[in-house]
Amino acid sequence: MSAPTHTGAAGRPVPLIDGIEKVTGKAVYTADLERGDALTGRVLRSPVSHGEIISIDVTKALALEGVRAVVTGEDCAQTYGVIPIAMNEYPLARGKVRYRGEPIAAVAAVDARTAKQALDLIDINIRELPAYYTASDARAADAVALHDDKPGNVERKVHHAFGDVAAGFATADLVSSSRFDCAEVNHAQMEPHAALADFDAERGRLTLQSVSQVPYYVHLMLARCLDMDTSSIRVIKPFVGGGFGSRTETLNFELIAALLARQAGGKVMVRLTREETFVTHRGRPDTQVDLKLGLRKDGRIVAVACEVVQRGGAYAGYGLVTILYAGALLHGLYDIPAVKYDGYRVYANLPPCGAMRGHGTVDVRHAFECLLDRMARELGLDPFEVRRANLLTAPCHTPNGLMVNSYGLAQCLQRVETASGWHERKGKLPPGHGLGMACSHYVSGAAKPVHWTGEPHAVVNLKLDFDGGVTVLTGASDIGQGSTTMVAVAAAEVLQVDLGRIRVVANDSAITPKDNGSYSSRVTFMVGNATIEAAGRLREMLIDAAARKLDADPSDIECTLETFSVRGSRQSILSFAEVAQAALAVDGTITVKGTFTCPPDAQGGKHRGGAVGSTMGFSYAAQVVEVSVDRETGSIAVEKVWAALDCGFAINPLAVEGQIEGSVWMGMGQALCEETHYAEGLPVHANLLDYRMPTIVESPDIEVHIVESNDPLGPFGAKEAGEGALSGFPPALACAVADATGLNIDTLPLTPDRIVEASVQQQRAARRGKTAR
Amino acid sequence: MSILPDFSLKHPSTIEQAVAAIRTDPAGRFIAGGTDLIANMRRGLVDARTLIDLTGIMELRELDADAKGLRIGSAVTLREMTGNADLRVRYGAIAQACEAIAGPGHRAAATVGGNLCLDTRCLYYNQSEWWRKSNNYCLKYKGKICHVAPQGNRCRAAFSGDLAPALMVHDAEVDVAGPEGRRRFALRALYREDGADHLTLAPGEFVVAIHIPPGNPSALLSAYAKIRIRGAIDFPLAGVAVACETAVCRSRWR
Amino acid sequence: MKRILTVRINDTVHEDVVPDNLLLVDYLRDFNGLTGTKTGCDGGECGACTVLIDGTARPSCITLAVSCDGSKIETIEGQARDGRLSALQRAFHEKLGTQCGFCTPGMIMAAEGLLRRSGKPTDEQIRTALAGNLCRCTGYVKIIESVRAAAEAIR
Repeated sequence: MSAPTHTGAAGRPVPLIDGIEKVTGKAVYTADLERGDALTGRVLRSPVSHGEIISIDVTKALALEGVRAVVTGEDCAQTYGVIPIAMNEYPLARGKVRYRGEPIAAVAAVDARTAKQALDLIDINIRELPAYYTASDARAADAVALHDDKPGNVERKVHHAFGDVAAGFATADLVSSSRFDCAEVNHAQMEPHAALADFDAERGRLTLQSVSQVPYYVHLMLARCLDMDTSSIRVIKPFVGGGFGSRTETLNFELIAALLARQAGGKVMVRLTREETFVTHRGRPDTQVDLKLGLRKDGRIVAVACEVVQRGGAYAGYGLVTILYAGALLHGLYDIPAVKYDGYRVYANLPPCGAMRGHGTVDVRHAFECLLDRMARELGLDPFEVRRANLLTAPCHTPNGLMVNSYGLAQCLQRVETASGWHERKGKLPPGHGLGMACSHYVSGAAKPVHWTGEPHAVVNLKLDFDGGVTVLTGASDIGQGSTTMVAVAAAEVLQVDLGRIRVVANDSAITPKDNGSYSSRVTFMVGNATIEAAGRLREMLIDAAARKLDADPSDIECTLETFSVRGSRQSILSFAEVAQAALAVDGTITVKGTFTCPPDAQGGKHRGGAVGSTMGFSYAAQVVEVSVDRETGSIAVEKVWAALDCGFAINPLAVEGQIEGSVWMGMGQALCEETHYAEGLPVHANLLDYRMPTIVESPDIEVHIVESNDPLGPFGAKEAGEGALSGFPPALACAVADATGLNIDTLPLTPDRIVEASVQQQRAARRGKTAR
Repeated sequence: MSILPDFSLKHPSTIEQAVAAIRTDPAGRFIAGGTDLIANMRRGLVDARTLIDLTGIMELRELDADAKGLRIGSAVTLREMTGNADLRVRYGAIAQACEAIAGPGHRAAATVGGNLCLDTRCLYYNQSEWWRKSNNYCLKYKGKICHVAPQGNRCRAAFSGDLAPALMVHDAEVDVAGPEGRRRFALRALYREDGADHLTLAPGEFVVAIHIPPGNPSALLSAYAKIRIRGAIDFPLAGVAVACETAVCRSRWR
Repeated sequence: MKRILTVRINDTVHEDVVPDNLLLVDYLRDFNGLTGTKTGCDGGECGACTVLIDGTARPSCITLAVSCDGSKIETIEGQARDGRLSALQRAFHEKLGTQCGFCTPGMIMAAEGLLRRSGKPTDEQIRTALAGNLCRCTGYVKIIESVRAAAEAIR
């Protein structure tokens, strides 16, 4: 893998181009938006888990002085949702409520106090129905259906089989199975939800600003739910304080803000509390993974059978995609000849789940790496050698039709194996200490988009004008991951200009080209490539202009570091500004478009659901975790993490490091201390004290190694870097705990009580073992 | 914009003025750092029209260690406690308990008296108004049933203060003022086993100071251990204070 | 009950009539338009609202504005001098101690409080000072690096 040389900005560590706004407090987030004349919007939420709405009486609320709008399910008869074939949610409940916290009414008033008073004046009458809080209860024969068209409360069943699993197991030297229970977790991004809707009653136009990762999808849903033409709607994304998937679909409060604004004929600001943000949810579902692996003595994995049950909550949302991802990415990391997958996405009377970093794949990867590790131990095999026995050879397609053009897993393994001193130290650590390892991967965006409109998968515009500045116009949503910087670096690299010459304008539907949004890590690959194409076109125009001015052939023009010259000549040199002027002289302001579309052979297998998991390229990761475990208190201290990620090419190594560190750490939260908890459907965890994300005190040093496999189709060879490492952490931790204590625990998170309980069971079993002799 | 009850904040500068203020509004609440009270108020758990700020009373702000033992004014902040080197050496458990509480920002305002008088906590109580109303409230506040133990008639909300055990192993006494006057008693008598009414303070009473009797402190080693899931912020799942008195022929544990 | 509140916010003295029940964070954000200070939780749980009150880092979302009468309050908006970033701001920017930026103002103010007390903090002291500030993006690794770099730059 020889690395191409980049003479400009690409490949150098660069601070984010909007970092100064963040460190000075000048960055404006949705809740910061000027709202001197904005009404305060508040949502009334269902107190019951499941019921038929008999009546909602808002007369007293409407009559309260200072109240300008009150809306209920009567004000929007349209469902919405992110997957076109699975839109079964209303902005405000209609007919039925299906989870505690579901919006049933909303008010807009002159101030917060009046809004709260108005909510208290709304009378609701709901006839309760039986409610279900576990997947198994919801699937029971006599369970009431949450949705009439989904009897048995299963949103989606998936049955995929590739290769001959039975034959595979027959050739195995060891067949093992285990059930893993992974608790539901939440993104808990630092910024609570908010939306500012402004309805111009005279012109019939709506402007919405919100915390979205997907302004385009929000735009479509606003049009649908307000029955407005999309051309009358404008969606703008301010700074966003984190997403991680919490905002990768249109959210109810965004539609509610718009409905209130229209009724009031003005501006409405809806700011959700942290509790409401948790209730809006869209997190990673509670997942049960039943996994069976067949392993040969030489370390080869010969067969996999996996059944997954996801407790998806009350509405469809991304559900069918999540249950498909869970099975699809059993493939693509290792070379496995036979894989059988059965998945069930189940409804429950709980806040709806959605996409969360690593979408659908994290809990399955946890089960897989843990079980593989146990089996390796049983066969006396080193876990690194087992991985090496099962490496893919790129380029290839997996049995389920996923394209692999670049594959840096071997290098990732070697880097962390060496850096952690695995062979020197494993088995020789002090008592209570352990080392564990695991691998993981993730897609660089879905190669088949959600809406099959025939449009390119990414479009970027560039503008060059008299001031000599280059403006990149993109719909790509920067949520802190640095996409705005990425497009600037890509443009600067191709144009061979100083990064400071590039400005980025993002996320204003009236100005910037549509982008599908920031989810499944699509932006670098797709928008990066579109930017490169656009910058390449502009560069050609500039070279043509330079050639004319220098009286040379365009093929003889060299373009480096803001100058254009004739190859071999010392006299003929033009500055960027001179060339720009010459180019503008032709036709005035130059705007250039660049696009990117995933080719058909990247778009997945032809089987039903085969598009999910499809990608232009996977990131690959290997990590080693060192722990110390106190058996008596059950506390686990993560001493250090070594993580290597193959991102193809690090366009901005600083940002890539930041993403690897952040994703590994988020995996740590899920592994150690994060879980949602409901009491009869009420969220007990809905604050940042009870939903425990790790503090700086217990967060370890994370040593990052970047591997570059130079994907042939990636922008400068790049693939994603933000999600791949997350799902490797929980199993690496669990394996380290097993190394330290001999405990194999099948539950996430590994909270102290579970360690202590497992420890007690282990001691009992040891005593029984002794007395049985 | 948060909506707190419409209260009036009083700023007494003497104990007598504080007592007068509570006499004027017996439903009023005392406030010092406010890190527990304001957080609970934001949840709708405190409906007071008068808050009486004790931090303006100099007597409550003093921390004295001398031959007469240790006197900690109830409005001494946890930060002042952790910054006191003498405390760390002679009263290890107390210093360790203080530095384990919440986060550094809380400790800058939170007080010793506040931690001793912390409201009890429960997953069914420390929730928003919407949450608790949807759950028909609870025995501790506005309801009839304890959701932790529905068959019983006792509130099971837990006391989660770190300082109390650490002070108790040093035989601490509390000095309390109120409409009926002053009184002083062993710290352990400040608490009763009732999640809904866990402090034995009479209506209108507040803690003025904590006294640790003189003894031979160099012969008393103490320490505090806090069990919690994260390394900061969290209330304790369990907190244990131990003091060990060593002498030539005798050791005694508390 | 309303009263006159006199505070210095960054470089400006303010005299405002405010109700007793106004939170400091709302006084800063809604009353004075200083939206750099953030609210990330429902009360005292995340540190995003951290400001300096008389030089000490404190959560402004569980502090009453009126209890700050006569005090000096410093927010993120006051850190840059003549448009130039402070050492901490520069370090957080250049070392990527900030990604989404939402925890950043509170994190920088907590770190500022630390560096004023201790010019050469150990990693443990950095962790203790920032223990009450949650971040969801960085895993804290580059936050610690940023504070170290700022301390170095100041020296």
